Amino acid sequence: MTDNVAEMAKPLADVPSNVPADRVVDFDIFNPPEIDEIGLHEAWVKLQQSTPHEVVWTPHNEGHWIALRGKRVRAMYRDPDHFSSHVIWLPKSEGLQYGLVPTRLDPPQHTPFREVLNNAIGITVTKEVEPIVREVAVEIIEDLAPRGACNFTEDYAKQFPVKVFLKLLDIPYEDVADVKKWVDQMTRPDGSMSMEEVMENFFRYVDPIIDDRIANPGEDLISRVVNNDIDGRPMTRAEMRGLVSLLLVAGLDTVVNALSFFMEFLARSASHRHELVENPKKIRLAVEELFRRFPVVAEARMVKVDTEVDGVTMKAGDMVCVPTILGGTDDQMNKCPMQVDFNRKDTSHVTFGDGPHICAGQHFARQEARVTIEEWLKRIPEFEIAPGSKIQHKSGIVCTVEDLPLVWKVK
Amino acid sequence: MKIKVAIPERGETEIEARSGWTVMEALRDAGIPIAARCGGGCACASCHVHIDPAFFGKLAPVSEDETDLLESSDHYDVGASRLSCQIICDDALDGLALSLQPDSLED
Repeated sequence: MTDNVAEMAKPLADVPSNVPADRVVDFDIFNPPEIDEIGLHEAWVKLQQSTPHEVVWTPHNEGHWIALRGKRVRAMYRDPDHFSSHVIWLPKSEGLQYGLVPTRLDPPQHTPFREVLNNAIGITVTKEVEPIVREVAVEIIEDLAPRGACNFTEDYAKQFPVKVFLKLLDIPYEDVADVKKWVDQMTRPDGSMSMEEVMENFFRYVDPIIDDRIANPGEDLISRVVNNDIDGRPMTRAEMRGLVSLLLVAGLDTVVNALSFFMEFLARSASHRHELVENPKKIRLAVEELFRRFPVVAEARMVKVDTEVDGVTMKAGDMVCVPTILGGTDDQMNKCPMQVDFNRKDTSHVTFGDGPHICAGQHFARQEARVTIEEWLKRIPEFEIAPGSKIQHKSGIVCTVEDLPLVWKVK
Repeated sequence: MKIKVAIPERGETEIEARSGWTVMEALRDAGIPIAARCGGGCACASCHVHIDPAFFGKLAPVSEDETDLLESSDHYDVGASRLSCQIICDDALDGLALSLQPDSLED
């Protein structure tokens, strides 16, 4: 990402007086050192292992702290009194523009909105919609299987969650390309569109849909969201826009990326593939192990009041990157964390975050991943990375695999 | 609804919980030191609690996946053990009494 327009335009921040010199690191969360050579998770873990400290500070992206240890990450996500969701995306000036309710609220204001999301996409709905998810997975995989090759990111990962969400949200397929483009600009901006423009596009898109679902409520997720009250009062238009946009962002840009990392791993490891082909019942816990090993999100929190952490004072207003990427991959959380072991006991991770804002779609995400691997291995048990191709990862608020060309023998 | 929580070697406390949330979430957000290492996905056993007999029979039945995880615990009790991430708070459960287990305490 050295040609990133936004990055080139932004100078490094000066080191503030509350940051001791031994905490300063040279780390750009959108372009970590050596990501192209060693891979995304390895590049982040290298930073973690480079210092005895639990928090460091980088001058990139307007200057911010980074939490480096899984337990510290979990503790911060569980402590909204000190680590506020008022700004959750870096750099801070962009994060201030990003306003999807309820991700920027702290408890207790956050609580009733979260209930709306839990009802729309929580455990109960997840179980109900499994047949729809499976049907979409089977349809795409059966189309791919006879081809003997695909680009997994384009041909499966970008299609599958989108098609699932289209059905669940009841929105037309031709809209997806636009929506996906705005989502990408939010999570991995290339400087072509400001956050303000992204949000305007989003809201212009969702407004007529909201109007329709208020007038003609159905069983879809958008209807379930907008026809709600907030602790007894009606929801405002801004709140509806935020919640509906959040469903789109979350649905179109997270599982896609996690799945690509999972399949890259399975393509490279015949023994892990065979373990699951021979014993499909293992897939449920194998998916948990894959989520542990391949987290993809690096959100941030804003320090609410001056707070002592690991021997430094974080000042109110300071930003902290709280990477879920360094949870399950931390050797203080799990033994031999970079090894994938489907029989691992006492797995610990923060892949879905923690605390009041823990991913509302975590159950849904697990299900999408499990169903994909179940149905894929039934039809394509043997596959590998296309010979000669180099797989590239991209780091950001949500990290991704650029392209994943796979090949297999057609039966 | 209210939940009465016993924590090993730390005594008892009572917390307020909102309907619709899981018991694990209510415990976590009240600052109870529950490990909940997978975040609530029925994928580990670190939100394991023992439920008071007066309430155990009122809970929704335990799934096969949950049983598999509970059975791996050294503190498994077939008549009391549940994963708190699998219990949804409901006013019908007001006064729910439970105790955290050594394997569910945050380290």
